[in-house]
Order: sequence, then structure tokens, then C-alpha cells
Amino acid sequence: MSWHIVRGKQKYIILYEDYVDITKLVRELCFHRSLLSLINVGEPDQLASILNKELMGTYIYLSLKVKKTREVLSLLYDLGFSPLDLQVVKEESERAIFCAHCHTVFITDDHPHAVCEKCNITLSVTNHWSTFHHAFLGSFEFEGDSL
Amino acid sequence: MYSFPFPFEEGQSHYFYKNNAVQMKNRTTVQITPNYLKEMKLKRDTIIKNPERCFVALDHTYEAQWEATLYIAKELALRYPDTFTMTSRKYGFTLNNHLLKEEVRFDYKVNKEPLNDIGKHVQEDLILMFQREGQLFLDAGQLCFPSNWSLAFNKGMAFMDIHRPVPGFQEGQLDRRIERFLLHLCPGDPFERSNWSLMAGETLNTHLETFPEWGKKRYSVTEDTVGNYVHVRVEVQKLHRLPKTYTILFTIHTHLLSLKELSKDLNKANQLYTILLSLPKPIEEYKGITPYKSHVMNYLEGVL
Amino acid sequence: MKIPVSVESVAMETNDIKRFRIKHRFNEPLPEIHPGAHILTYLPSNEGVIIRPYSLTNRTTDGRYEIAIKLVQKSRGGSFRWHHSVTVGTELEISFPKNILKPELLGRHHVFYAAGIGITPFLTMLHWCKETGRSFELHYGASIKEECLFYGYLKESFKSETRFYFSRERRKERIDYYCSLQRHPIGTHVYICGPPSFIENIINAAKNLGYPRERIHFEAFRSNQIKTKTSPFKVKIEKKCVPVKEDQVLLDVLNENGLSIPYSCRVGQCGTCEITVKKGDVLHQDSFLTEKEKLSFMLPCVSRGKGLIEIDHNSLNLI
Repeated sequence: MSWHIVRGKQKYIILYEDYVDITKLVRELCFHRSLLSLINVGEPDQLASILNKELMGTYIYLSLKVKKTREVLSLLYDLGFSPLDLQVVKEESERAIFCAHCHTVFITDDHPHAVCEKCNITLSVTNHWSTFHHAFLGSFEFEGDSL
Repeated sequence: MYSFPFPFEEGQSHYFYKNNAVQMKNRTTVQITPNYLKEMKLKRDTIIKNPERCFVALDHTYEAQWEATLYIAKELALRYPDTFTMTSRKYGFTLNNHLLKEEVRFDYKVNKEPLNDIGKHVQEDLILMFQREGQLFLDAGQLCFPSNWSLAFNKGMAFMDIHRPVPGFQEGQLDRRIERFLLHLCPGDPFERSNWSLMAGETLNTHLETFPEWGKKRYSVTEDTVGNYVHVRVEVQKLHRLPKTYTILFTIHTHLLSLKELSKDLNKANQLYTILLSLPKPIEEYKGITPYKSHVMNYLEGVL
Repeated sequence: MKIPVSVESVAMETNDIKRFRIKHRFNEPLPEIHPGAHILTYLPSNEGVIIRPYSLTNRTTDGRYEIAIKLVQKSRGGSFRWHHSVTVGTELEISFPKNILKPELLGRHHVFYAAGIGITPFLTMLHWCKETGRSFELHYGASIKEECLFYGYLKESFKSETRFYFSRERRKERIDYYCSLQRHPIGTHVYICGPPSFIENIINAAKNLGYPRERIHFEAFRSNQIKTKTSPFKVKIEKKCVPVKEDQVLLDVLNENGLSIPYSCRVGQCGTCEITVKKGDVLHQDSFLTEKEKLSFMLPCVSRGKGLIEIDHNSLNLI
């Protein structure tokens, strides 16, 4: 897991789910003498009403599995938050891939190749990242002529 | 009179990477060429077959789509009065396309995808870039003739992120400088630039999604077919800041010319040859020229 | 590209502020505008053309522009000329409308802080917020009610969103930035326009509270008078050496000498006129370039040279 500390905020929130270890992040954020609040992400509705009341100067860390991350991000963006208000703690063991052929986004383990869940094409995982899809581009390989 | 937009500057003898955008003298967004009918058919067929590859628009883009639509329609009627007529109404207009013999109504909020609708009357791909929190985002666009990229993947992405895979783009902070230039683009002061590549075959709709279909053609070039089969592909790109929504309208007109046709002008053939000689390997690979480059070089040597 | 216009009407807004309505000379509607837009006005005079930027306070439905101009004490050029020799029918040219301040399309809440004539770029933005149903508020400071530009209009159009602060009325009030900034919801964008100290104070307070800098938008007052005493210098372009007198702007001198450097704001804020400096000391006056960039670039609309400077002719027209 990796993150960077954004300094100078009034309050930090960590959104987490069970089975994700956040102790190191908590310890690091405690140094900053700002408010720190931990929220176990349960029902999305409840989460929306809590986060909706937050004020400028608040910064959110998402320490969630990839699937949950994608759900919570779209909720936050709908509420009017932007990437400036939050950070996704990188989870290296799994990745979301955008299929260049059929546009399906699927989650797979960390491997240079992936087979699309929907169209079964073998994709080569690029490092081209989309903040919008929250996924890496999975592209074609052609006789060693990868894109 | 139509002439192929040769992409190199006079006297240019090697490849260099810079932002070559210049202020546009005639302030246009689109151009009608002799290929109009053929390309409109291809464009519309491509959209019908795979709409999700050809058009994207996020919810907040409607006003800008409508502004771009009006902007383009007005230009068509003004610059090609024999071909297009536009009749304005309070909440829309009717466009008469005399080449396609069509009369099309455009009504504010009735047309759900106005950019997609007006795009069916011009040869250009139409991209809208939105400024948000100090960055530019591709939030709407119609793309039928891409040079190996996916509109669906690039949807909602920032300019800097979109171009991250382009080799050399981060060097000397070129990416930042270009972004800053775009952020400062002003209404009434459009710019244009061109981008070139070579391609095997004469396919305009080279979407990333169909790379396995057209990409393999790179390996089928032979000594005998190279002159007719390999094309210089030039994208004339125009950048306009729309005054009302302050969106950037980015139009891309793709032109193809076979090596054989190009070589009728020996100066041009010579310039292409020298520039290909100086082309850095990563760029050559990015442009997809590597598999058949030797055939091209041999062909040009033969001509010269 | 310049647009030929003429003055259609003139009205006194307050004691020292006049409002002008401008129309296209051939009665075409003027281009649509983006909220927060300004224009450059090119006013002919005996001493040559006077170029000044002004915020558009309105674009009428029939395509007229409105601007409000405050008579600056000791003004020799812009506002003096506008107040004393511009009447109905005066012909001039204007630029296309352009923006430094732009409302954030997806902003969740918009807060405007204005002082004095700093209200002008906000009028079209407030109107846009209201018209499109966006959440917003205005904090507007002035000395007294009578000096408060657009007081009546704001009170009528944005009653529940506007709060006035009068520093010289019987009940003295000033904007408590810190307190105000503290209670905006996450996702808020703030817009500031007023004198430099006003802008600086609010920016500092916002930064201390942890506002990302992309959420803070501001526009400096456009007095366009270079405050410090200026000295003449020389500029070398290719092999030519050209003098720049103390009252001349480098950008204009370069363009008069055959370069065509694009420009926009003329107050050192937008970066359009950026040029590369090859040699010499530059007195930077812009608010655009980073310290690092100042080592090799300058904005000739506000910045000047010391002694002799040499600019890179090849860098022009490239980006």
C-alpha cells in the first residue's frame, strides 16, 4: 500500500473497509495534529449524508479494495467532490483494467497480461491510467508490436 | 482548390518535437474536400456500427455541444453558401446540406447529442475540452477517424494524462507548455497545427478498438505494393476557444496521400526521406512505421 | 481580431463611476460572452490609441456590451479619457471577450468576495449562477452605500445570496475572511476581486485553512498603471536595437517593430505574451511566471528591462 501525505488540512478522513489494514496510515496522519476521523464504509447512503456535511479543509483517504474504491469514488464525485479533495491509497495486489476492445472494466490481480471478462481477448496491461475510469488501459498485442 | 496539406516546414530536414501550433489566418474549423461524400458515408457507417466508439459526452457538456454545433453550422453556411444553407429559429436552426440533399432540424434540448449530429455533416473529428480546476478534460467528442486511440478510454481524462504515452512529450516540459498554451487560448484567436504519420493501407477509421484488424497490414507491405499501399497520414488540427462556454473546440481533419502520389513531387519525397532518416526510434515505433520502414526507404531511394 | 463599435449610451452609476453601453458599429450582435469576461478597449486619442481592459458587467439580449469605469484619481489616460471625452456615438474598437476569471463548471458551491469596483467581473458570474440554479453567495465590501456599485441591482437580483459590508457607515463592518472561509462545504470554489491587499489576505486565509490552490480564483484590479517609477531601456531583437521610453510598454514597442506577439490581459496575468529572454536583467511585474520561469521568460505587457535586454526572436510564434 502506498500514499502521500497532503499537509496543511484541518481534518483528515480515512474511509476503510474490513480486511484492509490502515494502521500505518493512521499512525502517520496522527503526527499532523489535525482532526482525524475513521469511517468504516458500510451502506453508501449513510456515507453520502456524512460526507456531505464536511467543510473545505477536509481531505479524504480511500483505503478500500478496488471494487469498493470505484463505487465510493463515483459517489463522491456525484456529491461535488473532486480529485483535489481525496486520494486513493494504492493497493498493489489488484488492478482495474479497461478493455481496449469492448470497454469493460474488470478487476484482476497484478499481472502484465489480462483476459477480458466479457470479450475474452488477451490484453497487455499498459501503464496508461485513467482517473475517470479509475483503470489502466488493457491494449492489444500484435506479433510483439505492443502499443 | 484542394491540395494535400504537406506537414513539413520549408527547409525542415530533420525530425523535431515541439509545439508547432501557429495562429490561424482564416479562422476556420472545418474544410470540405473532394472526398466529402465518400468520407461522410464512411463516417456515418462507422457511427451506426459502433456508436460507443465514435461519440462520448458527459452530462455537463450539453451547452458546449450546442455552442459548437451553432459555431460549425454558421461557418458552413458562410463559407460554403452553395453547399449549405442555414435558417435560424428562436431555439434552433435548420441546416440544408445540398451535397447530401438533406434538410436537418437542430433544436436546443431536442437534439440530445448536437455535436454528434453536426459531426455527420463534416469530415472532421470534433473534440471538446473543458477547463476544470486548472486542467483541460476531454469530456465530449465525436471521433470516427482516429489514429489508433480510443475515445471511450480517453473520455473524462485530463490532457496531460491522455498524452502520457507519447514519447518525448514530457521532455523539456513540453506537455506542460502545451497545456498552458491551451489554457490561455482566447476566443477569436484560433490556432492550428498538423501532425503526421505513415500508415499501411488507406483506412481512415483506425480505432484502437479494431487494432488487430488494421494493425496487421503493417506486416503485409512488400517491395511491390509499398508505393500504392503506404500513405502519408496528416491530421490538420484546429483549436478554437468558444466564447460563451469557454470550451475548446478541437477539430481534426485527416488527409491521406499515397507514397506514389507524394513522390510526384521530388522535393517532397526528398524531404520525407531525410526526415524519416532522422526519426528517433521511439517515435518511429509509436507511429507504427517500424515493420515496413525499410520498404519505404528503399522506395524513396528508388524515386530519388 | 478587433471589433468596430460605438457608444450607445452613457449613465452615471455613482459619483465617480460611469456606465457605458457599447454596440457593434454595423449593428450586428456582439459575440456571446462567458461569465467573468472582459474586453480590451482601443480608444483613439491625440496621443495615440489608449488600450485598457474592462470587465463586462452585462451582455444585453440584443448583443450589446456594458462596462463600468471608475474615474481614477490622477488618471492621465484611460479612465480620464473615458469620463471626459467619450459620449454617445464615440467610435472605438474592442477585442473579443476573454476571461481570466472563469466560473468552475462542476463547482459544488461558489463564493464571491468583492471589494469596491472589484464587483464588476462578478456580475455576469452571479447572473450565470442564478440562471443555472447553482449554489452561490456574494460577500461585497464598500465604504458607504452611495459608493457601492450596483447596490440596488444586487439587492434586488441576489437578495438572499448577497451580504454587504460597509466600512464607513455608522455600523462599521468588514468581511471576516477567516470566519467566512471556514464554513464553506467541501468542493467550494472561491473567487476574489479587489485591491491587492484584499486578494492577498483572502488567499492567505484560504491556504491556511487547507484550500487547494485550484479552488481559489482571483483577478487583480485592472488599474493598468505601472505603479513604480519606470525608466527607459533598450531591447535587442535579432540585430536591431530599439529604445523603450519610460512611458512605453515593451509589448507595444515590439509589436510596432514588426513582431506579432499575441496578448490578452495586458496585466501580466494570462501569460499569452510570454517571450524568451536571451540576455539582460528583467524587472518582472507579472503574476504569472514561476520564479524558475522568470530566469528565461518575461511578459512584456508589464515587465521591463534594465539597461539592455535581448530577446529570442526564434521563440516567438512557437509555444
